[in-house]
Amino acid sequence: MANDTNSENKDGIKMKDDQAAALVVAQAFIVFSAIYWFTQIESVRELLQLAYG
Amino acid sequence: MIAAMFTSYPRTLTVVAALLVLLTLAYGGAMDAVYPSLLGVFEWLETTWFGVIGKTWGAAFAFVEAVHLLGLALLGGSVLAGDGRLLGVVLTDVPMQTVVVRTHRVFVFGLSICLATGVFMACGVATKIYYLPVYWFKMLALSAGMLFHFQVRQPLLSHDIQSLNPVVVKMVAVASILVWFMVAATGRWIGFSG
Amino acid sequence: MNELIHNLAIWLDDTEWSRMLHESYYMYNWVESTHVLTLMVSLGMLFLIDLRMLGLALPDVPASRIAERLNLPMLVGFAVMFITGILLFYAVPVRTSQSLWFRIKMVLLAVCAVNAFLFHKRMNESVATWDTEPRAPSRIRLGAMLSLGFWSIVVVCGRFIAYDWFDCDTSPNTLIDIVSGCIDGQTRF
Repeated sequence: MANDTNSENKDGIKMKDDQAAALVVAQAFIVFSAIYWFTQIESVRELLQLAYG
Repeated sequence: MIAAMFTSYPRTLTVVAALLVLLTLAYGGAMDAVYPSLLGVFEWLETTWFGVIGKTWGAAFAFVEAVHLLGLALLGGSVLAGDGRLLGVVLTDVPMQTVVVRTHRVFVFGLSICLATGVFMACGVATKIYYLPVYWFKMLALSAGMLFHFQVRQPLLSHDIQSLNPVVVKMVAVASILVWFMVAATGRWIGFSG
Repeated sequence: MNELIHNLAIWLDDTEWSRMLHESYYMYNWVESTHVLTLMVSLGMLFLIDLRMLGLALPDVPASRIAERLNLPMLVGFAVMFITGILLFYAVPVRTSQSLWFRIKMVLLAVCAVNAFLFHKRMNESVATWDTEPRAPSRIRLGAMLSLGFWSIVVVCGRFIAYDWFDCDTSPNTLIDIVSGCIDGQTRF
């Protein structure tokens, strides 16, 4: 009985850890992607504006 | 306190460290220090069998490029089906766990094709891609994508998905689609550069 | 016939938008990239359906469900590929219309369409009897294998269009010239 509770606790902690890790990385990727693509599109826009006015 | 964090959140701390390493490699000047010494490796790659075949037999190179695209189709299809299911967009009447587990196998197959053909292609044009920033960015995105898929996404989705926070699950799906799109898009741009 | 195609290609090539698209570094590459990256949606979904029929992907999900649910994203992907493909042809019409690989690709696309029609017809007729089986019956599996094979060759031909091995100005092989529809005395690509 005690072993079962222990294992459930461990699973719960592991799930929390996995969720926290996923949240951190997913947030980082989403923010990084937004900045990266915005910068890319903006630089092309500026380049085209320089070329064609 | 720190010891308790290490025992309770080892994966979180590891991925934070990995993210910092990736950022340092990309923008912290670490790459600048290593970069010159890698030229020899890329010059050597062109002298290998793969490099010689890729450089001298254009048809072989073009054929491998096409197989690379087929691998990309498998990889992209599995990512879109799996992550699309997590977002509730496709296959909504099939259990999430089934879709995630089954598409993972296709993903591994597609990724294996892409990696094998990618190594061949890189050998054929090694001294060209060495000087392309977009190639290095793709490698960074690919490393991040593989680490994310195998070390973050898979461990998370091995739990009962219904008991996970749905916002986290959806964010993981969006991040996964974004990172593989980034890998594919930067990969395509290698062909337009140099 | 080749003369007609050639004249049509020249007419397209003379339009201002064709020249603009061809000469625009970013626009042409964006269209080309979209065409290639949409593979992940169109062929990605198609391959999943075909592999399901062969028992290699999602074998524990009913075949009809996979085919029905992935059909829409697949068609959206093919629509985008079709539009971007037409734009790519429009940007370089003369050379493309005389490309051996482009011609093989077009024939194979027609073959793929016929195969898809027969595949769906056979599937709809019999799916109730094998829907939950991990592998479809041999006739359906044959259709799935043909689909995988034909589409793979379409991708190979599509990739080969970019190479100039058999371009009309360089090819010494008459048979290839005939299949490519080379026109005597042409001066532009």
